[in-house]
Amino acid sequence: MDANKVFEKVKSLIAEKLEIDDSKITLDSSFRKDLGADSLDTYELVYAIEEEMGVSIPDEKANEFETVRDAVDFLAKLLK
Amino acid sequence: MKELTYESFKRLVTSLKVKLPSFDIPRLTIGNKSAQIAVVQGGMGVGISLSSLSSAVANQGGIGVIAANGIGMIEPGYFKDGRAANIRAMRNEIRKAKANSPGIIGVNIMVALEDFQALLQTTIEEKVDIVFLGAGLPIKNMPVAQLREAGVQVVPIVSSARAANLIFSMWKRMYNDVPDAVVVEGPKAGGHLGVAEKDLEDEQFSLETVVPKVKEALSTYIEEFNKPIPIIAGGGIFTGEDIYKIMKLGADAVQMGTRFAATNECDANIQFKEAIVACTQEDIGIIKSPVGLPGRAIVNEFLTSTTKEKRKFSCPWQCLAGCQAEASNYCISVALNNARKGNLKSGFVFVGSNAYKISSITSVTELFQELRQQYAAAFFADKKPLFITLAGWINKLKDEYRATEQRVRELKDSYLHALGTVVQSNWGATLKEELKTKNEQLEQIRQNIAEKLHTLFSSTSHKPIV
Repeated sequence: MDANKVFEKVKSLIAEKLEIDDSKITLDSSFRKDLGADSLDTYELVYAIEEEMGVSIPDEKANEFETVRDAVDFLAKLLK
Repeated sequence: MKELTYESFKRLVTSLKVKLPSFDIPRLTIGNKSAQIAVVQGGMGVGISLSSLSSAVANQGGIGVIAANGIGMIEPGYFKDGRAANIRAMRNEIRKAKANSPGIIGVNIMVALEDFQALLQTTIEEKVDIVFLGAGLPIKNMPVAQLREAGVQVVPIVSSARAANLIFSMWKRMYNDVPDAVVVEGPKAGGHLGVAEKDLEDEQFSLETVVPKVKEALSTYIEEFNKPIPIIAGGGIFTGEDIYKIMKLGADAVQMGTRFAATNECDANIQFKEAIVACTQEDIGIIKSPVGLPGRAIVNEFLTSTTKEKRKFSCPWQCLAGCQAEASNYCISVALNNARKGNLKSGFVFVGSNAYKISSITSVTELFQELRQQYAAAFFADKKPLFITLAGWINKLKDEYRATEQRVRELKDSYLHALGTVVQSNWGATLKEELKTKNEQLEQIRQNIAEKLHTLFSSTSHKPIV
């Protein structure tokens, strides 16, 4: 799966989980600052991504995702 | 009319030879483990709650909890090999606690600990009764089958219904199983807090608001998995009245930390305990801990200095996943270990928001007695209108009882007299019959009172201990 496809997928999951308009989500959006996600949101999001995309993301890794790009890059590499 | 008190009510009931149940703190049953008193001693890390405190609590009928984080610091060799020291110390403390008490002993393990899995394995090997898992979400890589086989009950610690929901829904999906109870820790707790600093005063995050929400969130799992999932409420619980009040809001038990820290049996140095006795409300504040969470503590000179400058320290090992030792002004494990040993110049004391109310160091036995008495008084005060109605009702019955008793006495005299004078008469048989009826009536009255009391208790969740 290429990075673009991953981004589209992640974007729709973020929009759904955080209940925000997906036009507000860019690669540079910070989960905390721009999207208003707290630590529980991040976990929920990671679990949803795992389920939807059939991947496994360690909790420690999930904590390190600062921006949407961090998550997309990680997933794109994983799904290569 | 004289004011009705628990004592006068008790006299009234016992005068009718009816036993009055006492209004005690109820039991707490988690899976197949059952404690007589629904009070859990909160795990207090880096050597504050070890085998001494936990076994003393378990001996009083509560649940004693050993804290796993930094436990190896009580051992020599921690700085050489922290992991090994942690496992060694934990095994020792569990065994000592179990040797000192036949009661329920748990272990609190922070999920964020680097050696979380290894410590959890040790609790399985040692077959502890319960593990309390906070500071992170106990969801991934949980050895559920092993925990079940060893009979270790699993209790996550959360600060919101959302977190409880996430843990339970993920457990269901991943393990087709759910945890056995939940600790709800509110914003008034001591130590690291699960509520963000800006939300600490927000009513929405208060223990009183969150407990009913968690109860609601768990109801579907209780039904689906067909087992009770008790809620243990903690953070700011200080008196037996506090226990009664939070139970009325749906909690099945409470968790208390700070009060147990100021007991003779607490494993910390006396200076640590004296710092709690000495602190004022103004001394208690919120700090930003190096692990990235807010925490409530007695803000002393050491803590103040760390906000301005870096203290000299060497990190023994990366004990917390995600701790950035280099970026911190001090090592929290080392500071807490210093405090445990009584060195408050290089350490500090984590406490709950009510710590300033503690005026002396007491024993665990006395603390339990105090809590149970306060609970009984709070129960009585809360149900007072009911007790007043009941007392009026009993008084009426008592008049009836007295009259009946009087008639029984008269009948007895007449009967005895008749036996002496009349040789053959039906009169004697009639008297005998009436005597029997009256005695039955007396018994009936007593039973009525007992039943009324029973009804009163079954209308509340607070089961009496007869």
